[in-house]
Amino acid sequence: MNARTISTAKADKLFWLGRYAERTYLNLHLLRAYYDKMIDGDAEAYEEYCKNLSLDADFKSPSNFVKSFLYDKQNPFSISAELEFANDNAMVLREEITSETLGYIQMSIAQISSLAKTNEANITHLQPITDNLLSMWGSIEERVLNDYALAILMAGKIIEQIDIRVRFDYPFDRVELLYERLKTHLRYVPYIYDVEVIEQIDKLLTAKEYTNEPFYKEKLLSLLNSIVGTY
Amino acid sequence: METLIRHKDAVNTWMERFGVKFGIYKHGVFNEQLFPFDSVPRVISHDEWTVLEKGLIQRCNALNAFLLDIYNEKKIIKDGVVPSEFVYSSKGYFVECEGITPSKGIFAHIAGIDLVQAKDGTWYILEDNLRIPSGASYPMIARNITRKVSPETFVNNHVADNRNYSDLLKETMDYVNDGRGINVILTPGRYNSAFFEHSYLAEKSGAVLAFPGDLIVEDDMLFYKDISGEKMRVGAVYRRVSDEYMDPLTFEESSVLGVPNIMQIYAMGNVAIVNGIGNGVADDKGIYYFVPKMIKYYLGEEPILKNAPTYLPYFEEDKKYVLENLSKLVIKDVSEAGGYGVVFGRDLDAEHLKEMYDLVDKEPRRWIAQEVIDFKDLEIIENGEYVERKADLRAFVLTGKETKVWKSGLTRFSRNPNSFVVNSSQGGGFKDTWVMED
Repeated sequence: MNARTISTAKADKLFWLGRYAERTYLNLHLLRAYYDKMIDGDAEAYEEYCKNLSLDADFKSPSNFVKSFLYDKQNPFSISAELEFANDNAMVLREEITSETLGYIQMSIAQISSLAKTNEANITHLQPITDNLLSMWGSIEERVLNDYALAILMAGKIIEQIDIRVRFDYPFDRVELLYERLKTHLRYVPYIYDVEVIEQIDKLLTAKEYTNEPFYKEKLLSLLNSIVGTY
Repeated sequence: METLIRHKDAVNTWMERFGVKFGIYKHGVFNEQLFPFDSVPRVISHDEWTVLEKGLIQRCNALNAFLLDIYNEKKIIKDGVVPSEFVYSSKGYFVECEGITPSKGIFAHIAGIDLVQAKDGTWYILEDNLRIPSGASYPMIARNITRKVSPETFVNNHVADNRNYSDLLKETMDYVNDGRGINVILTPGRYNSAFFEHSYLAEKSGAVLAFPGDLIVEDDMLFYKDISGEKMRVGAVYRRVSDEYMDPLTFEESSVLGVPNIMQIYAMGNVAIVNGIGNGVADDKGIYYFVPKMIKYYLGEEPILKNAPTYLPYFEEDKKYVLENLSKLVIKDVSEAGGYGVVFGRDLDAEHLKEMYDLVDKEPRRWIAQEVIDFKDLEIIENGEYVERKADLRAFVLTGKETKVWKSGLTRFSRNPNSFVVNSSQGGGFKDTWVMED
């Protein structure tokens, strides 16, 4: 078998596994950061969090906010929902990513399901999920031997990293470095991305036009989310 | 073994970690659940296994000879050993397979043979599964886990290693592939009840897991479509899609699970399909009755393993016996599988017995009847206590260059103390099956 053989459907699953696993990891990080702000009395800090994710939701209280973002599967940005989305993709990729790698998602789901039963707005028990997700990426690097598969997973991961960083106003150099890394991975899989979109993003970034203005962010996010597809 | 049993929870945690699940539809809703595992293994001695192994090889060789014969010369019908009605009225018989000789002449590459052991130690064959028998992956991964959790158990007990099932599968696929192209496992998809097995066997055998739409027939060859636009030729397909859905241009035209035109190139010998199409004619519950006769007919040997005592109401003498003894027999609908369509006469009240009587009387070909075998109970642990439950054994026989029996098997048990039904789809659990080396 050609070590690079991969179907379009699997490529799609790999890309979204990369995105959802990384989204879960980053949202755990951000939830902790905003929870920390709320400890110091900034009880409405979660509103900024929701606004950055383009969510128009009124959670009434920080406690409701945390519970929703941890356990509510109807909230697509909750840790429970994101892990399920990651799992839906990972389950059909076992032979590409290996059972060992899949295990880290399964263990994370078991952890959040167990916490959900308590329905406590306690984020201190989430560290095992963060650890599992980091281990999952380590396992991918160690065990995924298909160059295409690895590049697609990484493309999904980095697009998610850029997406979140743009939404949360990270400095330009962080975004630029990630974007260069993304292009390195995409070069391995020229079949999955739109060259014209890359050119437009190149232009936006190299022109040093990067700002936190909503119009600019929306344009960049829109382009970013249309790089990968079947072309 | 005590340490293994003590670590039951650890084993189940590992099972959850590896996503060892099976899917089940209830009221139209798909749910995945863990397949309950019991740590107490079924143990088969070396000597007992030697007999079972010989008997299973013999049986599968005869079944393969039968399939090749039925779809070609039909000598067994012409010689009056198997009545033609049982062949041509079988739901598993496909006229579309007439004249086909698959790669290396093998139809049943992977057979799942269900056996039970009676209290006196005699093994009986309950049924042959030659279409898409599932279950080997569960004891395979269970062993992988139990060896991690309790290594000393395997230092102290010389158990044949069963983690080679995927190697046997690869060997079988490679043999019939004959170097034409890659091996693929064709799954109906994520929501198939045995999807875990499809993905796990692909991982362990190195085959590509193909989904509907990934395969295409062009220029009389089968290809796997790559994202780069390149097409990889496929030499062997281990399909986990039912016959009826394999080719919409030959069978069920609404099927989106199969591959258009695959039957045409299968008939040309340009791709191997594992298991062959049309195998259902040989694992039909009615044909089961004739397997001992097939062994004598094709191999000139006495059957090593026994069928459960079976009656065919199709034959007048048997019908008379069945109707007179309905209340003590088990009645099986030949068109059902998975533990469905099985009725124990002793469980029926007078009204239902009468209904059954009429059904058998009106449609004798639809039913077989068997004596209820008082099978040996196996110990399982429930709520920390040892209890006894009914159990069967599915042995896996793989036919490639040689016919080999995998030195293990899926032992399924009923979790209901009053039930003989062990199927996972009906709440059963499973055990590892130890075949002792000495």
